[in-house]
Amino acid sequence: MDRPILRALLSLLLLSATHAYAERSYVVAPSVGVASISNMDGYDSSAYVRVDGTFHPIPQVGVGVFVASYPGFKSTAGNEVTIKVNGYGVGVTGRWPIHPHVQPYVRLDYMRWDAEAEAFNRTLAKDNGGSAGLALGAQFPIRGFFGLKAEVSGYNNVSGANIRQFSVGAMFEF
Amino acid sequence: MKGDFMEFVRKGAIAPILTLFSVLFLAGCGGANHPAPSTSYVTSAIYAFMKAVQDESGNVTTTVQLRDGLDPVAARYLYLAGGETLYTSLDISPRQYLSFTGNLFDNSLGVSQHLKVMGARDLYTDYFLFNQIVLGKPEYHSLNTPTAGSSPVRAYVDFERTGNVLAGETSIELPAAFQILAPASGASVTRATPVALTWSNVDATATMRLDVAVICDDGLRNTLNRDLGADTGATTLNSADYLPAGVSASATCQVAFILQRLHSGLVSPNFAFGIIEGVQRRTVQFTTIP
Repeated sequence: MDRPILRALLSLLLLSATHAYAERSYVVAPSVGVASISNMDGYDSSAYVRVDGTFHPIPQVGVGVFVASYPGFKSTAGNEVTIKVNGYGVGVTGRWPIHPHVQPYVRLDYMRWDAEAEAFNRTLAKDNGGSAGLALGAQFPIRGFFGLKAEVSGYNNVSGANIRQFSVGAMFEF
Repeated sequence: MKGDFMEFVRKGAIAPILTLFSVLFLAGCGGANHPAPSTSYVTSAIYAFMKAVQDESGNVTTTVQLRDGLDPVAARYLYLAGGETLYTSLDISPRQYLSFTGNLFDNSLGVSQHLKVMGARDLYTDYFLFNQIVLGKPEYHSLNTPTAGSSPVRAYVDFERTGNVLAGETSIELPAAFQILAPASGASVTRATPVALTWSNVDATATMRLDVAVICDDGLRNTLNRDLGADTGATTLNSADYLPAGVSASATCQVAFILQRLHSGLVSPNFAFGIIEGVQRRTVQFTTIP
């Protein structure tokens, strides 16, 4: 191979590697939200907190892990039954940097959950399992590594409940 | 000092104090009938008397009395203590409602909406024209609504003891519904006219009981409880049977016939003894005029 061509290929390789490294990032995103049950009446919404950690090898794609906690879906009639759900999981995110300050994204994830029903000052029953989830949202980079995010998401069949939720949070991208 | 004491006695101030002590002493001696905590008794020492009454609305009111003996006058009534609970439900037992493993959201709805925790009150009888309350004798009550189309309805009671142990599952199938055909609601009947009470849907396997409440415009009132025996669909009462003794000849009286169709059974064998009654109750009110 000619030296100029070899030099050009080497330059391209180095350039692409440098470019890729420059755009690799980590996003940590704590959020709070409200979750409701869509497939049955009889429960109030529950607040929830969630923390996502996502690695983006390229800006458009990320893989991540998360933890989430729902302190209580309370029954609305008769005896008060409270169902607590805690979960963790992994997900894949695709985002589109259509504007320096607006990045819509979609995330597919899978949550392992533990649920516990309480009433009459005791635990009635426990359950655990896994549910796939889908989220649609947008990140809003504001300044430096700091930004905000908002999303709607849902999980089906979390111990019989289809959960639909909305959250807002911060994002820190390094 | 001694002079002060004699002065105190001489003025008679000691008499009220002695009286007070006497009253307190007698109150203490009369404790045999005071309500006692359920935690003082093992289940096999408790007598349980239960009633599940379905009325015109379709709702089922369940009442439970726990005692330490058979005699409703001599026995001590028990109140729930130490977190012990009486549950009621219809068609599905409390034990079933409370024993589930998966599908928490669905199953917990059943616990939330259909399993009732009985509340406490003093012994209470609703005579429709007035209520009768016996203070100091606790009973437990709850209101359940049957699922639409569920017939016959089975009423359940269970007794949860310390340690979340269900110890007294008892149930009774409620008798078939009926309607009072006569007298008509709001009718005026002269005292001289016997009142024919008739009802629909005769059930030969059931027995009937009639409670009557009367309140007159001269201030007198009366109650009457009569077992009618096997269900024949009719009975006749004369006004002398139910009007208060000494009622004025010119008095007008409001009368409530509270007709009940009964099924009876025994409570859980875990109790010392007891009965449960399943009741269909219908009421008609009318006026008796001179």
